[in-house]
Amino acid sequence: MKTRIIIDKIFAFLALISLGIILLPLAHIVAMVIINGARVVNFDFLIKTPRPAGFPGGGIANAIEGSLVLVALTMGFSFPIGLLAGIYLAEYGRGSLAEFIRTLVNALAGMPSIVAGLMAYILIVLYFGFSAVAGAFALSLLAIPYIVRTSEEALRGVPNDIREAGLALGLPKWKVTIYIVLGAAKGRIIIGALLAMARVFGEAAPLLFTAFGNPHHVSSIFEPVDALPLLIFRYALSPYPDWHMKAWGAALLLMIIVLTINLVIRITIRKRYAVRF
Amino acid sequence: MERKTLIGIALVALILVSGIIYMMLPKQEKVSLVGQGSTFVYPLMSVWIDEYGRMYRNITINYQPTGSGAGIKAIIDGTVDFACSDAPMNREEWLTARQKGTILQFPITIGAVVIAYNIPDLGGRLRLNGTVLADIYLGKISKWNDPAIKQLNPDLNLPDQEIIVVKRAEGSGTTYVFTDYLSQVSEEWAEKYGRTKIFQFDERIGDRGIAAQGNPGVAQAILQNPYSIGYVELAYAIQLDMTYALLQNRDGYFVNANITTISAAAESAYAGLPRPDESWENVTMVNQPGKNSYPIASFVYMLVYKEQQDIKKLQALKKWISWILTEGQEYADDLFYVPLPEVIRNIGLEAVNMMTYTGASSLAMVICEFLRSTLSLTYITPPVALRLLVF
Amino acid sequence: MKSNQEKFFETIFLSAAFFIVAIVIVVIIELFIRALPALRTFGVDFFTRDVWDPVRREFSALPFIYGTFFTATLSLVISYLLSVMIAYALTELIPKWLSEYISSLVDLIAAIPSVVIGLWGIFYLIPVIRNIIQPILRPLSFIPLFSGTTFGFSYLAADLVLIFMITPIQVSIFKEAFLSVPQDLKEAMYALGATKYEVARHVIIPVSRRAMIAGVILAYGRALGETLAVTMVIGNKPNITLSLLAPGYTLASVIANEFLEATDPLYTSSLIALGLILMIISLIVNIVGYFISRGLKR
Repeated sequence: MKTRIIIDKIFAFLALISLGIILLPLAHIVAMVIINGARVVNFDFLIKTPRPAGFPGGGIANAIEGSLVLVALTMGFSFPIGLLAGIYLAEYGRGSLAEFIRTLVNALAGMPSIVAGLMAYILIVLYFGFSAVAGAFALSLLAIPYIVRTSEEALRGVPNDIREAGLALGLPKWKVTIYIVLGAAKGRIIIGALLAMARVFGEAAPLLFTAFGNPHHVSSIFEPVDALPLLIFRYALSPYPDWHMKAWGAALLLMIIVLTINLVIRITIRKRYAVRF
Repeated sequence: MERKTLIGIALVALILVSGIIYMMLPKQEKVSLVGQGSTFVYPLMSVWIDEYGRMYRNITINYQPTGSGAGIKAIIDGTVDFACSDAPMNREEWLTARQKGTILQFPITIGAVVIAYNIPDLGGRLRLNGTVLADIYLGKISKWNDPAIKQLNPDLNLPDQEIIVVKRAEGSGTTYVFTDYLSQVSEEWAEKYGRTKIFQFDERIGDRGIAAQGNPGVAQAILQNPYSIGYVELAYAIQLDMTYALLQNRDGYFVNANITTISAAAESAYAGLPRPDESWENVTMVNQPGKNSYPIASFVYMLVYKEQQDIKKLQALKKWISWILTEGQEYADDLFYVPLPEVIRNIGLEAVNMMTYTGASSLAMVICEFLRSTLSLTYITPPVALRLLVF
Repeated sequence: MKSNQEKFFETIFLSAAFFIVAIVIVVIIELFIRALPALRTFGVDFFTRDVWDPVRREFSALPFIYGTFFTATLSLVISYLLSVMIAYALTELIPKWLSEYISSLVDLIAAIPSVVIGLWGIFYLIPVIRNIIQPILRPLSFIPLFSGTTFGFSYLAADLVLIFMITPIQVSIFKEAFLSVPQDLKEAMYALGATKYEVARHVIIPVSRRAMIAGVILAYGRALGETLAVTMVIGNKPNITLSLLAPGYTLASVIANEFLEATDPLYTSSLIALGLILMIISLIVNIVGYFISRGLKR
């Protein structure tokens, strides 16, 4: 009898330690990002572009603008396509064709980010050169499966009575889908899009050979751009202490953006659960 | 919807909208040039880009230091407007480039490769010569207190530690210049490796070897690993406050790397240089005679095609390159690059004069241009329309 | 009887789906075509030799396949154990009100971008491995896993980083699975006098097995493809070895580092072949996971 209790206690202990083990690095990372980053982030940091390598001063405006442009392009491209495809799979798809498409999308979902970059290089860069467009394409390859999946699930979650009620009123199917079902599912769909956006902000691997980097303000989407995660990668691997500090500052900005989006998602989810019951 | 969520969504929408706004900002006639290549020249290049950008706000230049090998590949592939390399194109690369047009190569500055090291408590400056250096990189000398090194540095506190040898991982012009030098001073090296942009460590080096990316990577590796040695461009060693060796030159003198010694080395290469449209594969200035010559110096070349498809880019390139070869040269010596003498500048200026416009001749190119200008609009309309639909 | 309007909209929806399919197929074909030169040149050797020599133009995938699997598998095993424990703690040991907040914290880890973890890894993890862990492991160096000296950049660093990144995924899925175990099953066991551990071991985990497998596979897929954080700390040296302290290289890392520098067509083709291999590996893992989790929903 006693041994059983001892075993129970041991495992409880181990479990709690495990929790500690995983939370400790989290605390350290967050703390270091805040401490190191806060030292660097100031008005100049946000507004100015970088100075030549090894010269102190300057900022990372190029990366901030680049990230915003890339995310806008990516969401602009992948949200409509993903949503429309999701609508197809949920409302219109029947049989093996839909199954095939669904399996393909799910396979695409697990795509390593570097392969997405490779794909974008082959399709876009070799013809149009390094550009924000190429980077956005690569990021879209990662975002689209997400959006398709979450949209499809959101739409499936809408109870059938709503659809039937619409049809009973004499509305054509497409109107029921777009105005009624979509309206009912829009919360979850937006959450899916937000999740995709949070992910896309933080990806750098697909941008290595597509967006390429650019020390100036963004002037065109057909030109190379920089991005926060890309800059962090470059600066972290450089030997210049000034760049190391800037990398932490960029990390702080990135974390703030990503965490804000996640917070919005969480609040929205909490509300929905509350409203349901 | 509740207010909190509205605020949250408003924040997110703000992010998206600002992204879109950036894309649609009214732009003056801006031309962007993209370049890639040598990390050797990057410290000077970034100063050039910075200064030039201040003066001529409508031309922006984006240079990514990916290594000379990648630069050469990029200009051949056509993914960049210009490339920089400390290694001239070898015959194979030159012939491949020529298939796409007339490739122009010309020097834009002169730099030096120094041998940086990290030895705690050394008590003075390390002296090396070519043979010892080659033997270190061949793996024959594996410890800092090896008799061969001791012989050159009798007064120094050489530790009983293994030498950590750092080289470049990728195709590098700096490696080319370094191995060019080693080939001249060591027969064994010439036989085993020759002069090359990339090489693999001998087995004798084994775990003692580190392959780093770019000049910055090598600098980083040396700074982080005690008892290491590596080859970097002078500007990096200076900017990062590194210790680097005095090298024994061909005439037997141990020289430091500075403008005087590098110029002395460069002078010997000024005679008989090729024209920009010819191959530069045999140009070298390593291991030159002269009591003041620094043994490992090199031109940095710019590579650009004579025929340009975009007239705005052509004009921008001409202005940019001419500026580098004239006013730009004044910024060189602050970073310990040698300003080009007039004879050499003229080679580049001649190349600029040779550059011409060969317009978009095929229908495909016209369509491409059309697509480019209208696509920026079509990216905006679908999401806006969809949002109107959904909400 | 579909009106023209109806058909129009249906076509739009279908087109979007088709567009995605088309892109994927085109890309896979392109990848395959460009990888072919390398595969043809080296044949089976591409998968069996241990060589990556851009100078002699000899390439093979073996060191990278090894590196990818070595890091992913080891990380998965340890992460699995950790995740089970944490999920157990969060569902059975910690009171509900607290558990929700702590769960949010754990989920937070998944939100941290890979680069940031890599950044932290370079400046804080690597020195720790070099200066603290290495001396500690020295007496154990007769064990192949712990042999050798290190610059800090190592398989160990990559593993630690991966464990950190894939644990939240599993914890979240395991938690959900544990919470869906019918209450009466648990109560029956408690009524018989079982301890929490026994209930977990004999009821909760067996019942949740299927969901857990799906979670594990998802995490494995993530670990196989993780690029940035791993690239920043692994040392970037093709190395087939059991030593955790040695530098290593994965499929994703070599592509990230060397693609822009690949100067000759065979080099580029080999890298694309590596990308193809990586894609196929993750496709397989993903499809397996998808079918298992679908088997669940029924």
